Amino acid sequence: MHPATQLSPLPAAAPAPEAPRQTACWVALDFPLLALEAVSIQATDRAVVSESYRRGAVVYQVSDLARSMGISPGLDINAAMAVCIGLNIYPRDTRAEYQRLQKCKRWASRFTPMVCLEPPTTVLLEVAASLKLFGGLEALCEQLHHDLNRSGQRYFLAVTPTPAASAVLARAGREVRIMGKADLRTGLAELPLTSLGLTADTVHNIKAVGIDSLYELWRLPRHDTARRFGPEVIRRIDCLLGACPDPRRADSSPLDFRCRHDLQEGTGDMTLLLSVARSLLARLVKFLRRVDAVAKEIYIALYHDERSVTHIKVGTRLPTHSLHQWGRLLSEHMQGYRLQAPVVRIDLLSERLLPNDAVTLDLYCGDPARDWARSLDELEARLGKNCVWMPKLTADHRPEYAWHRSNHDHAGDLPSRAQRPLWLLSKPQPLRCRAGRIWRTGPLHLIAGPERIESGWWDDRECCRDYYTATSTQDGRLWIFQDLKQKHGWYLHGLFG
Amino acid sequence: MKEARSSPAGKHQLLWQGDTVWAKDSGISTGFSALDQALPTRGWPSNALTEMIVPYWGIGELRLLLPAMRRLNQQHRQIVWVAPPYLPYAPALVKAGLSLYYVLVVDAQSGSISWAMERLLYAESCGMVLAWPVSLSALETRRLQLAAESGGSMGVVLHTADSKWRAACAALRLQIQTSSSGVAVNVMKARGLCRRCQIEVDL
Repeated sequence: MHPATQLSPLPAAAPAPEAPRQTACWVALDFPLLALEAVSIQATDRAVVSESYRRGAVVYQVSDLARSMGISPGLDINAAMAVCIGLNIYPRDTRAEYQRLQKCKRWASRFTPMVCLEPPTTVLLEVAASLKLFGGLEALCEQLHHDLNRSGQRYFLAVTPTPAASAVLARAGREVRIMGKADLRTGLAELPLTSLGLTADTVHNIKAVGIDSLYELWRLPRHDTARRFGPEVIRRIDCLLGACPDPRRADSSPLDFRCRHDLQEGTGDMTLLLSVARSLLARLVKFLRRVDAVAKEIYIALYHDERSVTHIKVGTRLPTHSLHQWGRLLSEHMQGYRLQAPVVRIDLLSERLLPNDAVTLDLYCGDPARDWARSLDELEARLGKNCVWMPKLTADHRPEYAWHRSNHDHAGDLPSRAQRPLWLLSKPQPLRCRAGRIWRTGPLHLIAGPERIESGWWDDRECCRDYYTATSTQDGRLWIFQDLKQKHGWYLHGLFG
Repeated sequence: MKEARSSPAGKHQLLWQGDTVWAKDSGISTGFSALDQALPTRGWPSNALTEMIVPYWGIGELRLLLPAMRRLNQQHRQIVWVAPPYLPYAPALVKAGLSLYYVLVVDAQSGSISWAMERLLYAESCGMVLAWPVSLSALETRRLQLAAESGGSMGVVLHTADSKWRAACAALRLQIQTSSSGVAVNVMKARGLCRRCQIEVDL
């Protein structure tokens, strides 16, 4: 008998049954003509999109008509022009392509929050958690097809349990649905070697031994494949088959929202403008709810007749997607405006929308901090942005620079030790001297001081003063100074309050 | 009932007395024991409007309120200054023991002071709102008083003696004068107080 079995009095524990895990369901959408669509070319045009390299331009993507005339991607532009006379050549616009992907992402966010962009042409959606809501994969795909067909873009849609396999299949134009990992090998076997996305050198090396498809590649011994062609090949295959983890991160690039409303005829009526602005707000809020985001700032642009624009900026401390709250802030803002000319068009723009960090709101008692932030927002909306501030300390000896206004409440406090008055005059007030005594309403008696403050030679606001505490029966306790650069320069700078 | 009527102590209980209207010890201690004793709430009324009349700014009105401000500050409640006549000087506030995290200044035009103050008094995290309005109508004072009551904040309106104020619905009305030791606080009206009194406070 094996010694280990003798030592153990208990029978070996049966392995715990693995908790049933929901298999992921990745939908890949590939747009094979994205480069053409980005520069607004129809598939029926006689046109190609070119990409420039150091040695010259080559064809990057071709329209259907051009393809039928024998032009294929990778062809030299000169050769393409020789093959097809009257060919329209457009340079590639990668920025526009990315913007189209972004737009697609925004649309796809209504199905799942997990949307990843795979430039240049693919968008990945993980929809396992959304299947129940949309009534199963069939219904969800039907919805996707419906929306995409309406947009007029050409696309391929593939569904598999791994993101890499979905992307590869969609790029290869295979519209398949594979639900289990076990079926992945069969589904992927026919794909060409190039779909792995390996470097040209590696592909060349593998092809040199007579292998063209994935099926042939994974028939080779695993160990030898890694040794001959590099570990990357094995890693890619494992990712495809779901044998090694392939974490993806949802695209979190900031979203913008923009909409406009043209008025039939110019109007300066604030009530009417406000109601139009509210309808724009409602569109913003609808959008925010759909993509599960919140807005921190909105801009309203009121266009007048002669190309002049009134800009209104409304911000909040509590990023929100609540129509009620934005409506309140906006009406506080707009009430104070005096319009110069009638308005013919209203634009609403909100940039850098933030993800909604779902704060659970208490139904019965509000959160005091949120309530406070809301009060401050309203004050700012009505009185102006700079009218609500917090006094903060600055490390400076000169009394007028020893503090500053701050709009943020997170600045830390510095220690303050010197005796200072509670009230400071924004500008020192000159004091008279009468019969050899310093005078305000009555004669002042110096009771403390001097405290010499000499600083600021570096920034042209040098101060060279002797500060005293003075008192009188008519004025209370005052903080006065003698300007040492002047002969009889006595000034009042603060009240002890 | 009969028994109650017959005993003097019972009769005392049945008599309505003005000083029982305002709950005792419901105030925030002023930090000056003489003043605490004189006020029916044993301190500043914590959810009501207080009116302070001073002959000139800087007589000591802020030093009078500082201990209460400190206490509210320790409870993490905001101290808001609406339209102050001068700049509240940050180094002095820190030296006086306030945390600037809970100090807010609102610059408001004379027309908006009352609105801003009312809005702030309703906020739960606000502890004290000080305002320096030029004038305040009876209606506005009443609104502020109601806001202070429902928001649970202390409202203080300060004005100089020469300003034209007629209406006063504030729960507490004080006049401050100079005196030899510090200031003399003249309690002109307080809920639950039968007669006027004057207290010397050494600042």
